[in-house]
Amino acid sequence: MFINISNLKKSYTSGVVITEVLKGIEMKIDKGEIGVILGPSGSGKSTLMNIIGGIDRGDSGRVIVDGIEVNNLNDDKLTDYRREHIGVVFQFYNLVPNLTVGENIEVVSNISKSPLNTDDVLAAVEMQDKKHRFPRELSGGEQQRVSLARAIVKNPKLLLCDEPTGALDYQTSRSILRLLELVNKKFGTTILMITHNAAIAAMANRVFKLRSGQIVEDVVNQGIVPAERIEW
Amino acid sequence: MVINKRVKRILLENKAQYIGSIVLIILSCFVFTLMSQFAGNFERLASEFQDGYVQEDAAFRVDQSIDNLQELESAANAVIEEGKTFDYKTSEGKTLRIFSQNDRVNIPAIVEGKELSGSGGILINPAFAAENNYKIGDELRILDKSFTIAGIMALPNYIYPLQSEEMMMPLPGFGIAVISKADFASFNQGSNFYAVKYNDADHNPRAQSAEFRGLLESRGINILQWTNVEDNKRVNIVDAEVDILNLVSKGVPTGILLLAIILIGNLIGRMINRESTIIGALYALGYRRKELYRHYLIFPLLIAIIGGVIGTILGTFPVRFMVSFMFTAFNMPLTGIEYNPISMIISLLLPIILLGCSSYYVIRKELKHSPVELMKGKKEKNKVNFLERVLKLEKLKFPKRFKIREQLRSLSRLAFLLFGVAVATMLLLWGFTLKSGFDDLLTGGSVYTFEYEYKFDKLRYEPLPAGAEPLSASLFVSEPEDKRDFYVTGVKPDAALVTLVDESGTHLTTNQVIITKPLANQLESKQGDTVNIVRKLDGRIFSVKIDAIADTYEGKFIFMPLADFNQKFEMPEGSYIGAFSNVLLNIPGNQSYSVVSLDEKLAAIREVMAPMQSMISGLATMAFIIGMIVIYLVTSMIVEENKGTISLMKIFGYRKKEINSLILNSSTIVVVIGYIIGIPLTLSAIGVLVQSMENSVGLSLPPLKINLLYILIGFIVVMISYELSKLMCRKKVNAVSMSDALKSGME
Ligand SMILES: Nc1ncnc2c1ncn2[C@@H]1O[C@H](COP(=O)(O)OP(=O)(O)OP(=O)(O)O)[C@@H](O)[C@H]1O
Ligand SMILES: [Mg+2]
Repeated sequence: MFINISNLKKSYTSGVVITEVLKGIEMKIDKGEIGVILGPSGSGKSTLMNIIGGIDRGDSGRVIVDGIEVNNLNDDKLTDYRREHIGVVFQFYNLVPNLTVGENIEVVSNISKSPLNTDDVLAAVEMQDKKHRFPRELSGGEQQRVSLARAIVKNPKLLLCDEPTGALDYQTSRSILRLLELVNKKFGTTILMITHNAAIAAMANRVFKLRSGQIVEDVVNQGIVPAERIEW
Repeated sequence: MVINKRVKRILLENKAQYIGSIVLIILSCFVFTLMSQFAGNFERLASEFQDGYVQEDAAFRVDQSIDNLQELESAANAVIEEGKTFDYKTSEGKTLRIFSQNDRVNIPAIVEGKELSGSGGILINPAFAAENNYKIGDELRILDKSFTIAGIMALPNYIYPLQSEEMMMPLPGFGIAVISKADFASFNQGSNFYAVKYNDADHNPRAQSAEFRGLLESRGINILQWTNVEDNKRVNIVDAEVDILNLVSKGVPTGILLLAIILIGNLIGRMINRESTIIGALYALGYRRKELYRHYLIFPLLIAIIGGVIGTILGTFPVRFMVSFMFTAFNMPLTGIEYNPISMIISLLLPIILLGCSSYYVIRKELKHSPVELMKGKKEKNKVNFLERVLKLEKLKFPKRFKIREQLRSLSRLAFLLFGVAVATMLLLWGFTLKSGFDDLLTGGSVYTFEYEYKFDKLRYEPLPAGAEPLSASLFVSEPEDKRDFYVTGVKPDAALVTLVDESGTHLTTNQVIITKPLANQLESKQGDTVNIVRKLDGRIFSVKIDAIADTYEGKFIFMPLADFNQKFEMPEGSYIGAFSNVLLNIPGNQSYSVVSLDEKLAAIREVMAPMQSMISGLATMAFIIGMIVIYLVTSMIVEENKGTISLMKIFGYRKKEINSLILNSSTIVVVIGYIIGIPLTLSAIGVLVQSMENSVGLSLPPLKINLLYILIGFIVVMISYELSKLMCRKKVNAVSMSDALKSGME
């Protein structure tokens, strides 16, 4: 079991109001699988993903990723955990504006123990000819490709994507999904993806539906559809 | 307007940046007000003193007593008063120069106490009184007579009480005193001199001097020494001082003000940039351009007004203190402080005008765009500047590249940092250079190896004992109107007490004509040249062939063998007027002379140096504050602008140390470059200062070099302020949360 979450709880306190965001999450994903989290806005998807990624902490429960008890790590250990194991792709790409495409990727490879070659990764996302461009000179889809390249350059064990296609059109979204699939196949990277688009779930091994901080459905997908053929 | 409610909020949100700008304006106005008011008062008090107490236009000595002064006065249309003086050693190392009281020219001004009345009273100068703890009413013995101190006084011809004119500064252990004519006569010693004040104030005094000298010579009166007041170092140093003060009062505040202008232009530009979408929306909602201008101009104007008022007020307080402090060195009566309203107004208005204009320019640049352009906003903001694009950084390692990109991202920010560090460096090194110069003066090997320097009032012919060497000297200039005078000195052809070397370090014997380097530079002469020089005493022109140039900056001299000197300048054979000596000479009581001991001189210089330390530490503190402000502001701007990146880095698993190093250390190289740029800037700024001193009083200083150690110390001070500001910014970096990047797109 690569990801094993049991009874994960998380609440936010603002003033006197306590909001329970995660109310005892159970979740299991095997190594090399693609998992998709679906759910309405505010249901706690991002919160869950952030805790898995070591960006946030749960209040109680266990979060085990590749044998590491993520919830028990101190700050420094958590930093190391993120540094060594996790790749992130954001909805709004979040490239560093004053760095070129190549340099944006180096932001990550700079701190990785055994990063992949920047040019190879760029070639994989078909951006090798734009290496010296600045982010603002790219389209949204291109930026997301760079963002993906940046996430995989350290060859992470777990790739987290929070609505990676949320800001993109149909065609571009599909090309990003294809790339994710490719990464999953080629490097055996486990991928966890949040999406609002139920159609995307078709390419996942497992689909989790979240509502008000609880997993209300946990489905193992029997008929996986390649990203190429997903339509919506 | 409702939008003006934002002003307070914005100011509070960016406290550090606005407080920093205000402090810069305060500093600038403080220095300007203090220095210009100080210079103004100094100048005014000096001229009031010089007019009110009838400062001489010239002083001279002749070889006999002038009998019919009254008749000469009307012939020359001048007031002439005969003065008498002798030096008296009150104790070991303390010399009092005693004058008979004048009542028409060079009248002593009472600073404290009463005038002389009757016999037995004495007036002394403030420095000597303070140094020896003399109070009014104290007894003072001179020779066999006892005097009571009636008052503390200042003499118009001894404002800067130099013991001898070759000295650079008044030294402790030397004082001046005035006693009544009758008391002076009873001593039966001393030498005579005459002080002249021309009645015709409109006519050039130098020209009147020439005429008057002609008159004296026509009557067969032989002039031994003649000093126009403009050439009198005890007086004209006042002008030099005012020049320097004026220079400093303009230069330093201008530099700081420029810094503040760049900084605030930067702040406003950034703010408008950030808010371009809001501005576009306001436009679209029907706001007028004028209203927006007014809104954004509030920030610089507020800063300028607050800083200007505080700085100007703070600057007026220490003026009195500074003047009275200065008057411990310059003997003048401090009758009162007046504040010049014009420079007060300049101090208040200048920052307002300059900041207003520069900010107006920035605002106009930003608001030029159409509402649609502004609402889109992002394009402008993310433009890649040409340096960013042109620089090929591939070869460098990532961290280096990242830091360089960070610095290049905003050229105005870069300029601000460079300029700020350079200004701080200049202030710092300026103090250090002065100190360095004095250090050299104290420790540098001297060309003079004697212990005492004697000056006689009359020519002597007697042979000197072993250990003493005769000399004769006369003042010359290169052009009749030039103020930069120098000595031609006749010494023994094998002088042992003056050791000169040439550029290659070879010893130069004094059986030839040797010129010192600063004088060679001034006369633009090389070895083998023949130069024409003008004797100040009578304006006669002589030509001298230069045999060698001595590699020393200790004064401007031409040395030649004494016999040649006497022959060339038509002095009696075998005569001399002074002596270098390693032993105290035994001189008959009826011969008047003065003696200066080099050891005492050095010890005294050391003492005089002490207050300079406080000035240097003042400059260093100011440099430190400016450095801190500039570096802190730039660093916090960088943190501010990189919040997204920092947040991202945290998510990617960068450690705190790594983030600090990438973000905060990116300025290191710029700070270092700023410091390096500051060094030549300092030297050229000092060059200007030295040149103006040279032009106004002919004071020649060796080419200023900054001791390597001081460059290092300055560097350490700058780096410490850098490290401190980084430390302060570290908190900001740590405070950036990871959710920043998660919640939004970056730009
Ligand atoms: N820092 C916080 N403080 C207080 N409440 C928070 C905080 N972060 C998130 N929440 C709350 O937690 C709940 C879940 O947020 P989360 O971001 O996980 O939702 P989501 O499922 O990702 O929604 P979306 O699809 O809109 O991104 C929301 O109700 C939100 O208001
Ligand atoms: Mg979310």
